Amino acid sequence: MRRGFAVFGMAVLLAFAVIAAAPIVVLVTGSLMGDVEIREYLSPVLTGAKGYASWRLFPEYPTLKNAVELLLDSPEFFLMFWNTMKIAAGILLGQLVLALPAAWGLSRGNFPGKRFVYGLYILLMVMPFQVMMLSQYLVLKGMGLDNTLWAVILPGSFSTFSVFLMYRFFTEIPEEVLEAARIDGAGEWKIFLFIGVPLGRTGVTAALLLQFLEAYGMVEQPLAFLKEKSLFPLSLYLPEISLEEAGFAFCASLAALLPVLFLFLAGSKELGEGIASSAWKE
Amino acid sequence: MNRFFAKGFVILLIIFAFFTVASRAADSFLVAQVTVEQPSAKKIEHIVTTEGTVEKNLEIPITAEAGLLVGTVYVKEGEQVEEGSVLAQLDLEWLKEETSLLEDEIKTLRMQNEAIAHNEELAGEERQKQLARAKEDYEAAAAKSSEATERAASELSQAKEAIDRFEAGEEKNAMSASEQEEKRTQLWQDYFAKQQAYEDALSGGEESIREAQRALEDAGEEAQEDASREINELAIAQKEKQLLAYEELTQAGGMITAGQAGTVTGVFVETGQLTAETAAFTISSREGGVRLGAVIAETDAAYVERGDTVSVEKNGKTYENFSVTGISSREDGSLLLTVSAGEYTDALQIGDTVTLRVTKQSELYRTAIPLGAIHTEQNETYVYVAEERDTALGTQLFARKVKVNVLEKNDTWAALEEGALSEDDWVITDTDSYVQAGERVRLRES
Repeated sequence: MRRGFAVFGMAVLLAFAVIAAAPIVVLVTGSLMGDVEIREYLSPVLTGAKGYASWRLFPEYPTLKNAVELLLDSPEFFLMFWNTMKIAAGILLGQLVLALPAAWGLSRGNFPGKRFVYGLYILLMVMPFQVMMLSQYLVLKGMGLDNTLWAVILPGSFSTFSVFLMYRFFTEIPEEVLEAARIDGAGEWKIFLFIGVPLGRTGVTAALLLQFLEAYGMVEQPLAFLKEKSLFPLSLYLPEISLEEAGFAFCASLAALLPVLFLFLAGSKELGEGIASSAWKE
Repeated sequence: MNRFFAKGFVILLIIFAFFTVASRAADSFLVAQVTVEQPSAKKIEHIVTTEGTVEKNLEIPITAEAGLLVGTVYVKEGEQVEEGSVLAQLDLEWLKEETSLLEDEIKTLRMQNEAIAHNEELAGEERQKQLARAKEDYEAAAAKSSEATERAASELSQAKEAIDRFEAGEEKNAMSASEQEEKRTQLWQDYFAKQQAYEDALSGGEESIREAQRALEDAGEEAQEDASREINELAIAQKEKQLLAYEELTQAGGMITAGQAGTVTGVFVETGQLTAETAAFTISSREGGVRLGAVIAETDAAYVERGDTVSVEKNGKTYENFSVTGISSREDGSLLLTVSAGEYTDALQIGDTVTLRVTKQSELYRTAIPLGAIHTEQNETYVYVAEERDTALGTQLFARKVKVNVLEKNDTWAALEEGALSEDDWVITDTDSYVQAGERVRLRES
C-alpha cells in the first residue's frame, strides 16, 4: 500500500517535472529548427491560423543556422549581454560595499532605533518597483545619471533584499565566537571581515547569486531609465526579435540562459540554503 | 560553490567575449558598403555620337537630247572638269539623219494641219446650205398648216350655218316630223365631220411645224470640235525646239560640254549607245561645297533636331559649330542626319569618315541623381536612401526604398519628379553587394 503511494507520488512528481522542463526542451529543439519548420508547428500561435500548435522533441531537419546567425551575425546580442554583465557586476559590487556592512551592522550592532531601521528595510523590500520608479527617476535625472548604466546599477546596489538575507545568516553566528575574538584583541572591523564574513559566507553567496539573477532578468528598470538602445541589457533584446525569426529567438534565449544556468549550478548549494534560511527563519 | 560549473561560467564568458569580437568582424564584413550622394539641381546633358561621311553637297545633271548616238565619251567618274570641258561627242551622221527625220516629221504635221483646215472650211459651207433648206422647209410647213386649218374652219362654219338655216327656214315646215328628224341628223353628222376635220388640220399643222423646227435646229448646230490641229501644232513646236537643239549640237560639232567646273560624279552614257531621257553626266559643283551624312539610332531621335549644333572630329582634331540641316526617317526606324559643313568645307574631303557629336541640355531639374542609383523591378522604379537609425550598436545606416519617377536621363544622370526625395536625403548610388530595403549598410571606406 505504502509502496503504491510512493509510485503514485513519483509519477505525479515526474509529470510536474516534465511540465517544468518543457520550456527548456522547446528552447533546445527550437534552436535547432529552421524557420519554416517552426512556422509549420506554431502557425496557430504566430499567424492566428486555425487548429492547435504542435511540437516535436527532435527537429525534422536539424540546423545550426540559428546558432551561426547568433554567434557570427548578431553583434547586438553580445553588446546587450555585456551590458547585462556590467549592470549585474556593478550591482553586486555595490551590494558588497553597501549591503554587506549594513546587514552586519543590523544583525550584530547595538544602536538606538535598530529595530526601526530594520523595519524600514523590510518595508522597502516589499515595496514594488512601480512605487519607487518616479522618485528614483527624478533623483537620477537630478544627478544627471538618467540614460546611463549607473541609473540601473545604483538603485540595484541599494537593494534591501540582500541585506535581509545576509542579516539572517549573520544573526546565526554565536555571540561567544565574537566575544572570544574581542578578548583576543580583535577590533570590530577585523571581527566583521575575518569572523563575520567567512562564517556568513553561505548567506553572502546566496544573496549575491539571487541578486545576480535579479539583475540578469531586470526589465522594468532599464526600460524606465535607459533610452539609448546601445545601453539596453539582454532582457530587452529578446522582445525585439520578430516572430518570423522564432528559431533565432529560441537560440538567443538558450544562449541567454546558459550563463545563469552555470552560475546556478555553481552556487546551487548556497542558493538552496539561502532560500531555505529566508523561508524558515522568517 | 561548485568549482566545475564556476569554471564553466568563466569559460562561457570567454567564449562570449570571443564571439563578441567575431560577430563584429563578420558584421563589418557582411554589411554592404555603399557610396551615397545627395540629390542636386542639374541639367541633363544628352550626347549623341555617331560616325558620319563627308558627301558632296550639290550635284548638277548634264543632259543631251534623247535618242542620239554617242560617238565618244571623254571623261570618267571622279574626273575633275572645267566649265566648257567636252564630256562626250555625238555621232554627227546620226545627228544629221535625226535632224532630217525631224524636219520631215514637222513638214508632215504641217501638211496634215493644212488638210484639216481645208476640210473644216468645206464642212462649214455644207452646214450653211442645210440650214437654209431647213429654214425654207419650216416656213413652207407653217404656211401649209395655216392654209389647211383656215379651210377646215370655213367648212365647219358653213356646216353650222346650214343647221341654223334649216332650223329657221320654211323647208323645215314643209317636211314631216320624221323627215325633219332625218334632215337634222344628216346636218349634224356633217357638222361633226367638219369639226373633226378642223381638229385634224390643227394637229397635223402643229406636227409638221415641229418637225421642220427640229430639222432647222439640227442644221444650226455647230460642228463637233476637232483638236487634231492644236495637237499637231504642239507637236510641231516641240519638234522645232528639238530641231533647234539638234542644229545647235550640229553647230557645236556634236560636243556635250560641262556647264560648271567640278568633279564628274556619274557617267550614264556609253560609246555606241543612244542617249536617254535622263542625265548623261552628273557633276559635283565645287561651289556647292560638302555636307555630312550620318545615321542615328531611333532611341536617340528625341535628342536631335534641326538646327542643333554639332561638333565633328576628324583624325583627332575637333571642328565646332556645324549645324543639323535635315533629318529624315529610314525604314528601319533610324534617322538620316544631314549636317552642313559650314566654314569647314576645305578641311573635309568627300568620302572622309568623321565622328559627329550632338550635345543637348535639358531644362534645369531640381532633383537629379546618378543613374547608378536607379533600380527598376516589375515596372516600379525606385532608389535606396541611406538613413540613420538608433540601434543597439549605436547610430547605424539602413537602406530605405523610395519610389521615384524618372523624368529624363542620360548615361550617367537621371532627373526625378520632385517630392520623392529631398536634398538632404543620402541616395545610395553604388554598393559592393546586393542591398535590400531595411538592410543595414555602411559608407564605403575610401
